[in-house]
Amino acid sequence: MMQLPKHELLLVSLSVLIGLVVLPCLNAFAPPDSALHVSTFTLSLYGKYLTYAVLALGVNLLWGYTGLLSLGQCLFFSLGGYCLGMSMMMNISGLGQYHEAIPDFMVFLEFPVRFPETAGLPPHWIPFKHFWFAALMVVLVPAGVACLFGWLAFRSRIKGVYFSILSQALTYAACLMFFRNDFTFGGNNGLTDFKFLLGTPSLQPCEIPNPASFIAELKEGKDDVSRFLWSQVTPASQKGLSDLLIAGKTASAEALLAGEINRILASGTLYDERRFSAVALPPDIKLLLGQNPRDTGMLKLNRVLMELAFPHQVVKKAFTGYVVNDPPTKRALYVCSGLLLLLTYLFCRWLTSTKFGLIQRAVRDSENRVLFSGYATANFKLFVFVIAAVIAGLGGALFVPQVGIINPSEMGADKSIEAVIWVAVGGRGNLLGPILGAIGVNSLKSYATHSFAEQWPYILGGLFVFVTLFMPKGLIGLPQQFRGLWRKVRPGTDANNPSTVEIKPENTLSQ
Amino acid sequence: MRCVRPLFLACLFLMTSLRAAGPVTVSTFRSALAEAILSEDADSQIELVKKLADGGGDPFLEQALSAWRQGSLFLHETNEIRTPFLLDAQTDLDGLALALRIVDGELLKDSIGKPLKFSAADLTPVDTSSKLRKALKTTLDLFSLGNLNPKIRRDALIKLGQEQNSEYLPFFNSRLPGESDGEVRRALEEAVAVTQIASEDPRVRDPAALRLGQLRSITSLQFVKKLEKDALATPAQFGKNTLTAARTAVQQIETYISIGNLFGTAFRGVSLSAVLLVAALGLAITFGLMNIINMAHGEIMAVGAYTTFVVQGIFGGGLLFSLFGKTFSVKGMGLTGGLFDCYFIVALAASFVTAGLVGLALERGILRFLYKRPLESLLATWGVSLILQQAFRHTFGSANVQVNAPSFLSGSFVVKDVLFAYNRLFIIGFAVFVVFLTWLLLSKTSLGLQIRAVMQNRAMASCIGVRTDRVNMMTFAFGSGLAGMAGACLSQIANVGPSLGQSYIIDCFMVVVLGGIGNLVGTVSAAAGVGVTDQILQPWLGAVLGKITVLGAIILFLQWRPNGLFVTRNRSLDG
Repeated sequence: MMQLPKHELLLVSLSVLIGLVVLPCLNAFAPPDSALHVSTFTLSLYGKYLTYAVLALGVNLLWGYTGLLSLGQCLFFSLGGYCLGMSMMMNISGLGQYHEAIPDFMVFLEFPVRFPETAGLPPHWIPFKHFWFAALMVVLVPAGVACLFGWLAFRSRIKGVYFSILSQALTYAACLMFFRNDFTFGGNNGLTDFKFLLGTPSLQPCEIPNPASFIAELKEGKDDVSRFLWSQVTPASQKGLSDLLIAGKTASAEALLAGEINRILASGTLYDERRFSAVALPPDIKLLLGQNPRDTGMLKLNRVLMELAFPHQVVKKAFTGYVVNDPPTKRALYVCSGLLLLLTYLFCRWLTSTKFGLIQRAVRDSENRVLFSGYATANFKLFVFVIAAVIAGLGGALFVPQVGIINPSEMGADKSIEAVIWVAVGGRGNLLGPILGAIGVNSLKSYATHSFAEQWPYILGGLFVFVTLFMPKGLIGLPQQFRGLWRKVRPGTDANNPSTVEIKPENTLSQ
Repeated sequence: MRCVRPLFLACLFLMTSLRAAGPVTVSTFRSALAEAILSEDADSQIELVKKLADGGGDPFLEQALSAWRQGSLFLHETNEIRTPFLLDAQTDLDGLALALRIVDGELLKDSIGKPLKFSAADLTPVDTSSKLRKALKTTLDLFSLGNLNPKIRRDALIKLGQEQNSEYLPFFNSRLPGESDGEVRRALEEAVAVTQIASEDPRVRDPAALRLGQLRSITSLQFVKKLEKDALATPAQFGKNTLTAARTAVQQIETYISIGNLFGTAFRGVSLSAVLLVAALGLAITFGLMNIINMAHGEIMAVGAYTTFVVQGIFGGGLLFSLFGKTFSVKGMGLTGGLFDCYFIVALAASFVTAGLVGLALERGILRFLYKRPLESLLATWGVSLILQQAFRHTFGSANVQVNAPSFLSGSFVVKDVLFAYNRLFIIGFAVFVVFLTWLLLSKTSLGLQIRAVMQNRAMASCIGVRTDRVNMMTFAFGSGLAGMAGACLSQIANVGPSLGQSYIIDCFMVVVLGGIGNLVGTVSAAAGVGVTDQILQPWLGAVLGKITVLGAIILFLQWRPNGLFVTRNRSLDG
């Protein structure tokens, strides 16, 4: 199995300790006014860097280890992000600007006219209401696109700069596509205004076990809550419910009733002292009511109130999803990003230490020799390309809930090249370098765009030039470079020491 | 104006003298109007007004007629003499305006020769009946038919013909023999025929429909189509002949339109190809020779475009720019007319020089250290492009700058309803010129010989004494210079702004990759292919989907020919 060098093991465990244990704990337990407190905003920012670091590891696997400079990694990153974003958009629960069951952009792009049979939801969006499907797609969509493109590219032996340009063209084309409003992914606004992750407090049709009796109860209006609910149901729906029940279409009645109740639950707080005088409320709910929550909190509370008011009609749901913007959720997302980074790092470490990794590097150094030795290099490259795409997709999936938005500009060619520069700054062909580069450059970017935004393009551009000219091995390679420099300045100091003789890592024969 | 008037009178004389009888000069029309205004008899008033339709080209007459129609024509009475007049549009501080006599357009003066002034509110306008107002409107409508400018005459005819008002027919027919301008004559015939196809009489209607077909009248297609539809719906009323005639006409016109579209698409395709070619040629040279991806190529084009802007400012009204936080202003030479138009010629040369110098600096400063590492040269040049973009923003502002087209490049001409814009034609011509120039350089000069030698085998060329380093430098500077000229050209058809380069760079790379590197013929044919395909797809798929399709097609095409259309063969393994 793989073995970590001692100093790297130390470094990694220290980072894990600080990053995954100390920071979240400081966020959770340190009082907000103490100097040690880490704000949720900061934690989310670091979380974003961590997902970028995951992306950088993918780029590195391609560029540093296989010699494929893909300028389209951000496409896969965004695809992963879009998949998870779609799942969160499906949990909008009527809390959008338009208070509709479908995401806002579908309302103002008039999707209900375009897709009347699904009430405005494009058919390919429907399965994304299941989180497991979205999670699967986070992996499968980038992998699929990478597989198709990679197969086409490597089959015809497109390599070097040609591969870079083509991958850039692919990203560009996809970006143009996603900018279109009728591509059903929100056009240039993208997906934003996320509410719940993994679930929703909204009433699902299957959560009303007996719609006929529930409707009868509401109609009868024995208690204040039913009277209130029935009065809020639109007259058209009232009639529709009766008609559907008479026609025996229970499933449709269930869906219509759930839709109406969800609309009422999302439109305002359900609680009213007089209205709920007959319902016994547990103390913790009373406590919550006192806080008068809004938006997502209100919806969650309304759901519980529904369950309490109609214990026989509404199924009690223990888990109603995570509120995306809640500090604990953000913290959990941060920890997930850290874990993903750790796992990706370990995976890359393992992959590069296997025989496969050896061939990978051989392909990088001289593809033709590997080819003539009987290896199907195209398949190796395709495999690495797909792996890198999946890594990018996973990173993107965790990026989106922390940032709260995903739009087509995220998959622009410039973003992909930026990802490449993180790797170049950190040091490619090395596993810690890209992580260092991604976090370092992005921290610098956050600081610079905050303090002197005008000069940032000069700094970034200068970084591109400086790193390629003077730091071919990146930050990680600096000590080695300095050692080389030192030997030049003081020749003969350690010529006798064979361990410091520089081994030329890249062969020059193939050039 | 002074020299125009006699000419105008002569024209009018020519036009009207062909008619048997009628007023001849402007003044007779004006006095006829005055007579009409003063006339007591409503019928003769209308008759007189109708005759005025021939007095086209006299703006004062038109003004007087519309003033009459809108009720702002007045009478001045002194000693039993009534003088019709209208008020000047300009009023003084007291709200009073000068009065202009209808008879000769001169100022109305009192007995001692002082101009009279009135306020419209104090005066009672001359009465008009609804019948008279209708006649006035017809006359005004027909008025532009006598205008001196053929284009105004033609536009008026098209508009009037589409009203299908049979009352106009006599006017049209009376103008037909005297019309000298071919285009207007055609429009007249079209107007007559379009008006006639609304007729109830099949003997008038059917030949008119056929005539429209023969005239290939695009503007009247909708009317012929309507006739065809009506004839199909109620055959009893229209008869079989009408249907056949309308059908033939529709077919003829539609065939004509589709042929026109074909040529239009071809022209647009060729002009887009020329744009791509001009933009990509510089890249083809640097990329083909040195295998360096110059991501800053687009920004070097922008350098050329901004140079054009600066040269324009120097020739014209000066310009403002800021450097290192300080604002500088350059005083322009204030040239106008033909001398100002020369700026573009100077700008073309200047943009070649500035962009070439930027390229030279780029090559000497950065790229020569990266010849062995093409992937990293990509990153470094991307960095340069970021820096240049921001520098443009800082120097010239982040908004687009205004580059005016010289007069010889603005406008267009129309052949058989296909529009040819001069700037597009110029770019096509320029592309041919640049390709020729490059071909000349590569195949007829010693530098070209050296360039080709280095391209084919760098080591061997170096061995026999070619200074490859110098050749690299010269080639890169030349390629950048071409890019600069491309930028100057693009300033005529696209917005000049900091992101000018970004919008072309991917297309340029596609053209070069598709054409195969180090090959002029490949680049030319790839540009032609991409441009024409794009323009063919655009009407069906829209601009964005068309572009995406082209990108996809290129990726698939490279499956078939991985090294592009034309491959420069050599024996080395890595090509």
